[in-house]
Amino acid sequence: MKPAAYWRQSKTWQQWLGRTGTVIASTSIHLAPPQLAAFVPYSYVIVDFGNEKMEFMGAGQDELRVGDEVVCVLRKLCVPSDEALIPYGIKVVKKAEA
Amino acid sequence: MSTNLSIIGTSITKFGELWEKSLVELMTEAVTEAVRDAGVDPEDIEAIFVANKAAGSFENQLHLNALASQLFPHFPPAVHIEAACASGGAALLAAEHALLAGQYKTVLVVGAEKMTDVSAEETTEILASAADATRQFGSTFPALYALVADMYLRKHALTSEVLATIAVKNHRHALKNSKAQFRKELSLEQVMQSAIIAPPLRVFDCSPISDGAAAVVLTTQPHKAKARVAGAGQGQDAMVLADRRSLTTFRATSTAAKQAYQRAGMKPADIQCAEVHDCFTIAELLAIADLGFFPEEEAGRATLQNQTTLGGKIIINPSGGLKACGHPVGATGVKQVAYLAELVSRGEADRVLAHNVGGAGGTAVVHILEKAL
Repeated sequence: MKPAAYWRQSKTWQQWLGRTGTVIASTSIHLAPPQLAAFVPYSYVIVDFGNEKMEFMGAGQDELRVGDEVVCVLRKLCVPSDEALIPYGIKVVKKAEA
Repeated sequence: MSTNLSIIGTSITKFGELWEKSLVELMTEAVTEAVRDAGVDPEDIEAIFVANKAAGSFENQLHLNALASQLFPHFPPAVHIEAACASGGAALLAAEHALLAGQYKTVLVVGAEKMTDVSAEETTEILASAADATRQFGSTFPALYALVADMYLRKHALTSEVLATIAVKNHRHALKNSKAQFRKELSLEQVMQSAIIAPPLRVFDCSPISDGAAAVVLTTQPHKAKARVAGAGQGQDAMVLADRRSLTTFRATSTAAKQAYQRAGMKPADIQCAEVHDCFTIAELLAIADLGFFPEEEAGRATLQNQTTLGGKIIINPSGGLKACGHPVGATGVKQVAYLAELVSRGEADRVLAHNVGGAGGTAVVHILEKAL
């Protein structure tokens, strides 16, 4: 991720961090682009936050299922190379584990 | 459409993993054959519309309009149209609009994509460029369609057998298509036991990574025609699935279909066969309802009861669809229309429909063709 793009996406963290919602559709990704390959399989879900819905990666390899209560957390987004910055971003985890 | 828009020449290259052919060679083959098929002088082509999604990423090759134009001795004006996997449909629409406006009398549309020079992981990354890069981070195309499939199967109490049924049918249809990437029958068990990509989607629920090109010559002039463009339409929707009102229907498709039916003066029951955008098996289930062939709640049962193949209510994806014929993304929308025009010209059908989708339903283009007058 380019530093400028990383900085721009960081502006939305405040909007999401700590918010809780319910998973309404779920899958897990078994074939991912190279920079995400180390995370597979990872969950990819649509979360209903009550007043809006959003799509997020699940943190770690926990399988998220429809109906799970989740919370937005800050996690590594890509596996960093030796030279590049370490990109963080919003993912979701099961509420009980947060 | 009031002006007579005719398809007078078509060509489709072999689809598949064509290591021996470059993007330019594929385009050249499709263009040369379509012009020859139309029986016009190359200098009669007044403009070219090139459909391609990602040659800039796959091949570091852009400026495709100039690449296409230089295939002609008179260097006709050319433009490149990109609308993700609906690039072909969108290029056809742009060409039709230029003809209807009277700007040109005869034009060529060529769609091409060269995808197999990079790894599957890199392809996944390039194709993900059709999603919202900031708001769908970490998604892949199979994953977006898997979310749709997850919602759809739960809503209608269906199992993944209905998805596998579509893969089996489209592979069977492709057996008689010499241009198809896969001409091999699959069993339900093979599909349902294949490797998981993004559950409930397995590898045989996904269209392949393909090289290929297709071209069509369109005219408003009196000329022996293979088919007539009766109507067309385009619809759009939010790119982010979470922003959609419904995930079990694609609004872009129903909007495009409504316009196309209205312009053609036809209704869904008039259509005898359709090429629909089955980039993943679930996409065909949505399409046959969004295009009006079946009510949403009956689409699954109709599929399981063979109502979408020869002997059923309507033949869906006679070419094998994206699933088995292949999906060189920029070529697909042009190939659908070229394939259907050939069916109509052989007298195998009189009224047919092509449905081309960009992304996970952000864009849709529908064309209706009928027998030439």
